Amino acid sequence: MSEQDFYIGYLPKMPNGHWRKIRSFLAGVGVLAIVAAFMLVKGQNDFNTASFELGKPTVVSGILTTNPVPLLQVVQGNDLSGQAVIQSILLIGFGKHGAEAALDSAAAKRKMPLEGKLLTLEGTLIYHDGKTLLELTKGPAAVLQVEQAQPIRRDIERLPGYTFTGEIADPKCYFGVMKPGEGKVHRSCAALCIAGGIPPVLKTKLADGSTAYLIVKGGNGEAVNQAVLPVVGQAVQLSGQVVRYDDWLVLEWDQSQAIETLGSLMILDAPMCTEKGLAAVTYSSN
Amino acid sequence: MSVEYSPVLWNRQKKRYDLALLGFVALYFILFAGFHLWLHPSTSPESLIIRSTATLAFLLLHVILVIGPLCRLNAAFLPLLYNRRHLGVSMFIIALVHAIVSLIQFHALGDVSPLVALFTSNPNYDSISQFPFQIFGFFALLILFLMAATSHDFWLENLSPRVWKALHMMVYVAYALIVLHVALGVLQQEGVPLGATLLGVGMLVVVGLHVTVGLKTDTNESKAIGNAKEGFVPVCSLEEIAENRAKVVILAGENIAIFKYDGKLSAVHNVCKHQNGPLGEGKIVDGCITCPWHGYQYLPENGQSPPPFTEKVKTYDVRVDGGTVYVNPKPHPEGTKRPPAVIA
Ligand code: HEM
Ligand code: FES
Repeated sequence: MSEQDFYIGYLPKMPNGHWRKIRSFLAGVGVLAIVAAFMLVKGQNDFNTASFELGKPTVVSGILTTNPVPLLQVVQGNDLSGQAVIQSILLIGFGKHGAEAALDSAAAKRKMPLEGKLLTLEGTLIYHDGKTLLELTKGPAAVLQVEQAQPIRRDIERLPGYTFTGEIADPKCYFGVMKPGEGKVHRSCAALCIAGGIPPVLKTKLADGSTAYLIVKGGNGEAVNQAVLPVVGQAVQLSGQVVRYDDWLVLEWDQSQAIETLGSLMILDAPMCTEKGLAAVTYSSN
Repeated sequence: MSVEYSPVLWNRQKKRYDLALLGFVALYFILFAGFHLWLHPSTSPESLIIRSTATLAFLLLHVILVIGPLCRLNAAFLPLLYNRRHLGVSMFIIALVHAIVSLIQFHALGDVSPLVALFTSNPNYDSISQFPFQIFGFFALLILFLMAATSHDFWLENLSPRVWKALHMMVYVAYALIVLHVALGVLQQEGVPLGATLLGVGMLVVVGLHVTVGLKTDTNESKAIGNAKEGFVPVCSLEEIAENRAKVVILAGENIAIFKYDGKLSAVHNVCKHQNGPLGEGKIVDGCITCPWHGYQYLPENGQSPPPFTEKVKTYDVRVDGGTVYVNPKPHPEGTKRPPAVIA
């Protein structure tokens, strides 16, 4: 370093020798920014196309049932044999909460049970992969109207027992509110949502490559939210009976058989247990 | 070495430094957002904010950590060190945005408060792969906060340089915590080959540079070039010291800088009172020893900062005899005036 090349920060000018070095450092850091930004983005998994219509309320009418979980059953016309085609919209509360509190409070205000009534609800739609959810964003005020209605015929079918491999997620985040709404990174949130009353859903891949979503309940149809908390967001294996309620599948988890965890890195490509002698395609919701 | 404290003593170099920093931050955000929206169009705004701020803060932390060793390897990098405080505070603010948005996104609106949820929502403290990685981020953020909050010279003075320096060495703890935060978080879920490679390269650069400097830095006693006379140890020939520059020696555990200027020699403690900068790598400017790090100044004869400043360093006695420089490693109290050795 020559005599004049001594750098003093509070003097107005940097010596030329320093400036040359700093200039190449800055250029290097600039290139680093470009390369790092690209590589870091490139290294991320793609997100699913799930949607959450934040700030865009929707009004829907349908019949409320809380069996097996709060659902709004919307008649979407008739099929060829004249049967009503039903879409069951899973109802969810605001934030990390189930819909029960909002519905109970609306029922208390109206001094009548809402079960089986034709409700007009305002909320925010969440949808992905053929499933639709409605967040009761305004709490009890989401219930705009309550009318008497003819009961609709439920299509409930008991299917054989089975052992599934998959991940227990909270449907609210998975079907649209968060990217990603599954896995290790999202696990705390999923646990909070499920602890807050949102029904846990097992996401599993079927033999035909399609994905099935099963609401997880206990062997007697009881809620198991607390019991599944330790394994939320991990690859797991659990067994039970399957019951189809219209267009949703419920896995009645046999709690005498503990949930087996398989480690988080496997979630995305977990091998599915197609070899257990049952045509897994039976469980396809379509 | 200010007499009064103001939040920032602006000068042209600092402004240019901050401008370059701002340019870097803006460039990174624009590029990250562009690539993100292009490659992952079904993203959400929160994910974009969480990930762009996280990666930028971590990238800046790498830059911060390599500046120190780079300056030791080549003094031409010193302008990067001069205003590193602004780099650190900016990095903290960006990391804070990441942490707050993550906390709102993943932990708010549940049955318990977000901070309680941070510690309780994932109970797998007994597992490595399932460990709640956010905890590491939280404690790293706490350290970065303490550092940013005490980064001003006001705190340096009031905490004492020793405590301050110890506190700021915690940056290495923060770095290790963030490595764990990433390794047990995002890397458990995605981007494993590429993500792990990038993390590995980053760690290699940081650790490698520190090790290189560690190996190069001589903390051993200097060798005398002859026999000591009356406590004075011969250390080098007169020509070995350039005009207005110093020779650094370690004798009897004392780290001493011997300066040559105006036909005289004076010796002072080699450690700057500001942030322990190496005074011996500084230069005499306007008659004062000037620290290479932030330009604190000391008079060579008495180790005192020129008035109105009050910093003082230890001084030592020097002799010249037959073209050989001798120094007595017995220190005089800070700011003690000692007659310089006059070069005949
Ligand atoms: C309370 C404090 C913190 C919380 C709750 C937190 C939370 C999170 C979460 C949830 C993720 C995963 C995001 C995703 O993949 O979408 C993440 C990733 C990350 N965090 Fe933090 N964090 C905190 C503090 C920090 C700090 C202080 C840093 C320091 C720079 C940091 C750096 C990172 C990095 C580099 C990633 C990986 C980003 C990526 O590539 O996706 N975090 N953090
Ligand atoms: S260490 Fe800051 S001026 Fe010397």
